Amino acid sequence: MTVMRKSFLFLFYVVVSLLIGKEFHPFSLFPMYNSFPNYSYAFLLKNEKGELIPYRKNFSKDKNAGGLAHQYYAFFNYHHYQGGFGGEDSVYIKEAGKELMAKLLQDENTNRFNFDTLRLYKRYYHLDHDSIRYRDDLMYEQAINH
Amino acid sequence: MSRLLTINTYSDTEWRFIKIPVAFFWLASIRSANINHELVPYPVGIFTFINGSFLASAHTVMVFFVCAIVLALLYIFEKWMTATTFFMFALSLVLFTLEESSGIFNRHSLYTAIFLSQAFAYYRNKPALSEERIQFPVQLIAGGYFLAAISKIRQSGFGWFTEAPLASIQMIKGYSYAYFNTGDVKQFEKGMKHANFILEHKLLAQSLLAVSLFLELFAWVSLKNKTTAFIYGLLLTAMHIGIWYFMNILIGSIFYPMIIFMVNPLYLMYAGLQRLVGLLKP
Repeated sequence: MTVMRKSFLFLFYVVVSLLIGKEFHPFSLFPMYNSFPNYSYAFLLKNEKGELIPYRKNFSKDKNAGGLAHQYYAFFNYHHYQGGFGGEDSVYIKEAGKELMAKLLQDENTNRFNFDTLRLYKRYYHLDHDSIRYRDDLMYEQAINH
Repeated sequence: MSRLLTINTYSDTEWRFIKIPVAFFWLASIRSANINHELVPYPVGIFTFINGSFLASAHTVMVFFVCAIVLALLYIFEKWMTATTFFMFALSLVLFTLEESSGIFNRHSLYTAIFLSQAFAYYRNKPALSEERIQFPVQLIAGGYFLAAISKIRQSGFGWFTEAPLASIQMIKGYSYAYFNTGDVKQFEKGMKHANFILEHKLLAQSLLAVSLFLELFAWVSLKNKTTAFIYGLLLTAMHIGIWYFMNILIGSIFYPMIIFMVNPLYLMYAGLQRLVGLLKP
């Protein structure tokens, strides 16, 4: 196999992906963890008593914390809203919360839920002088119709 | 093993032990694709040009999945491979772009590109087909890792690895997902333990990140021959295991094609068993 035949697809894939410069399936810049900003978000659910509602025990398998995080970032990118470092505008957070909640409850049988209110929180982690701190911000609250 | 490392061609048996897990993981990825069935909320890729809503309904996606099962079987049984791999590419393109247009980036790009490269290899139908149907995908996989390195350097500079203490924030995120998904608080405690370990051992963390950046940046070395692909595959496997241990993150859509095409673990087990049986024979 010649050097050209061994590497032409490598070169093609790299050059085209770099020229496109954004996600255009199947071309990608593979940007995962390309920087380490001083924040990270994880999304959790609680009931009216403040107890954790695990995704896997209550929702279909494609609904999970990772998926919600992806959708949160997609929402902010799509609308060109500023995001990150726990400083998003509360109006945008509520807007995102409403949309994420709607996606979460889509196609779910709410009759089998054993809670009356579902609260979506964004947990904001950051590093403060080598100590990990976090706070939970309420994004959206939804009454459940049984 | 010595034969594997010295002969620079791929046997039909090796190919068989590649295509079976590829078909399996591809099907699993398609089955678990997280697609919004009502609309395409954040269109990307081909759906920035055409409205993909008509393809996103639950019924259509189910039909696509049935087609994927048929294609996977044709792929395993080596039937009409130019058309089969091309349609696997087309199906991947539509379904995974729909998933990405739902805001979920599970990084399935390599599967889609791999099937197109194999369609090209089968279309050429040269005597080197047995090598090209494996080496072409290796080129794309190496390209993916190289792009990941370029992305890090462009975003954070060569000093990306010096930000290691801040990686602890990302580590705790991965374990938080596990806690919030399952309700098992031990996952969160484990994440905190790992994150604090990184904060207490900054130099070690920086060294590990520097090694991983180096591995990604020089992924093209794997293209030299089958031996370099195999050794590089082992190094990348070690890197993924490290990421999985510390961060509870395994990007399967990148890891599985890499280990299958570069290391071929099923074939290694088969060859090892054959050798063992040979030794035990009187």
